[in-house]
Amino acid sequence: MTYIEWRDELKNNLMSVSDGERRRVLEYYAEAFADRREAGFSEVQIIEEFGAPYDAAQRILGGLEGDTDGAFTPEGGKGANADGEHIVSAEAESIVGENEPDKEHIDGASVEKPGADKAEADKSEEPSADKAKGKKRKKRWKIAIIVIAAILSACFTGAIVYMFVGLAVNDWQFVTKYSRQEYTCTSEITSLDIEGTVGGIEVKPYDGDKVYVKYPTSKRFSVTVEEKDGRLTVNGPQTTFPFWGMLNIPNTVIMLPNTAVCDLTVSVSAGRVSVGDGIFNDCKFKVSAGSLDLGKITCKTADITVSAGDVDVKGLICSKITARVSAGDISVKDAAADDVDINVSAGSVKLRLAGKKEEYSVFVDKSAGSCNLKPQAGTTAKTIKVDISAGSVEIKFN
Amino acid sequence: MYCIVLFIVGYVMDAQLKKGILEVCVLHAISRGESYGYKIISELNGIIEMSESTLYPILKRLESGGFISARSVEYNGRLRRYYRITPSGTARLKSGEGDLKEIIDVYNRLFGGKV
Repeated sequence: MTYIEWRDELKNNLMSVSDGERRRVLEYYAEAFADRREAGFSEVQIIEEFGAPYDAAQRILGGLEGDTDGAFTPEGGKGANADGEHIVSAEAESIVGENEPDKEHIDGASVEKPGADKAEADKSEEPSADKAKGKKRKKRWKIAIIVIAAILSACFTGAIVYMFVGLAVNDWQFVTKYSRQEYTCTSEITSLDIEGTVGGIEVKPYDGDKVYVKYPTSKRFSVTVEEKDGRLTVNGPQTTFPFWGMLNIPNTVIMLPNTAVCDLTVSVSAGRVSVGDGIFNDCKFKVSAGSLDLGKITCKTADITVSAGDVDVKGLICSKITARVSAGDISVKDAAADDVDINVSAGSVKLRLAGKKEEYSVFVDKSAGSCNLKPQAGTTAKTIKVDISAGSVEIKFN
Repeated sequence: MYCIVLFIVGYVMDAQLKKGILEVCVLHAISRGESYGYKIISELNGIIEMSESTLYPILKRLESGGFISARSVEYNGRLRRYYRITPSGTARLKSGEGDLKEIIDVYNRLFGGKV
C-alpha cells in the first residue's frame, strides 16, 4: 500500500466528520509523513507505523468525541490561531526543529503564499460551517415548534377533558341546571353578613315578619346559608367546577322584614350585591371587585371601603359616614350625616349631603388629587374630614 | 521514576484517565519549547505509547481549550504546524503533575512499594 492509497482509505473512513476537519487530519498526516521521510524512514515503515487506516480513523474519531466546539470548526484548525487568524512565518526564524539543522532561518516573505493559499482553503470551507450552523438553527427551531405544539396540544386536550368532565357533572347539559331552595331563619336576626362572589345577591326589605333566603343550587356551584346566634351568613356561589356554568347564575334573594333592624356587613369580591331601602344598625361595606348598589339606607354608622369596583348609594342617613377608597368609585346621591370621614388614595368619591355647606367644619389634608372643598369652620358640630393623596373628592350640598 | 509511572499507568488506567495523562505528557513535551507532531511523538517515545492518530485529537483538544497555541510555518517548501504552551497550559501541566503525584501515592499505598 502506498501512502496515497493509505491516505485515501483514511479519508473514506472519516466521512462522518466535516470537510474542514477531514482536510486538517489529512494535512496533519501529510506533515507527519513528510517529517518521517526526512528522518529517513521508508514509505512502508511509515505506513506500518501509522497502522491500518480504519484503526487510525477510529482512534481519531474516538479522540474527537465530546469536543465541545464541534471538533470540526475551521477556527481550531491548521493555519489558524484561537481567533481564527492565520499566523504564518513572522516568527519563523525562531523555529528550530531537531530534524531541520539546515533550515534554521526561514525567509518570512517566502511563506506568505502558502499562508494565503491556506486562507483561501479555509474560506472554501466557510459555507460548510455556515451550513452546519444553519442546520443547528433549524434543529433548534424544530424543537421549539415541537415543544410549543406539545404544550398547545396538552392545553387543548385538557380543555376538552375539562369540558367533558364539566358536562358529565351537569348531566351532559350545556346550560347550567339548578334548582331553587329556600331557607327560613328560625331566630331573630341581629346581624346579616353577606359575601358576594359571582352572580348576584339581593337584600329586599319587605313587610313580612320572617327572614328567609331564596337561593339557587347546582352541581356546579353552591350557595352557603348559615344561621348561628342571631347571625345570618350568606355566601354567594362557590364553584365546584371553576369556569363552568358560572354565567347566568340566578340571584340569591334575602328577604328581610322592615322591622328586623340588624347590623349589615357586605363584602363583595366579585359579582353584584344590591341592598334595597331599609333600616339597619351599623353597616360595613367592603368591595374589592364587582359592584355594590345600595338603596335608601338608614343606619347608625356606615363604613364603606373600596379597593376596586363601584359603590352606588341612592340614600344614606346616618350619624357617621366613613369612606376609604384605594381604587374604584363611591357615589352617594343623597346623604345625611353629622360626621363624614373620607380617605382617598385613588379613585373618586362623590357625595351629596343634606344641609348647607356653612353648617360643616371642613378639614382637608391633600397631598395630591382634587377636592372641591376648602377647609372652613362650620356653624354646627357637623364635620367633614377629607384625606386625599390621589383621585378626587366632590361633595355637594342640597 | 516519572517515566516508569507513566509507562505503568499508560497500560493499566482506564481510557479517561489515560486521556488525561496523555494530555499532560503532550503538554510536558511542548513545555520544553515550541514543537510539532513528529517531534512530540519522538520525545514521548519510550515514555508512553502514542500514535499520530492519538496525538491529533489531543492537540486539537488542547488547542481549543486554550492550553496551547498553534501556528503554521513553511519548512522545506511545505507547511509544518508548531505548537507552543500557553500560560493556562502551564497551569494545566502543573495541575496534571499534582494528579500524577497523587496516583503515585495511591500506588505506593496499595502495593507498599516505592515507585
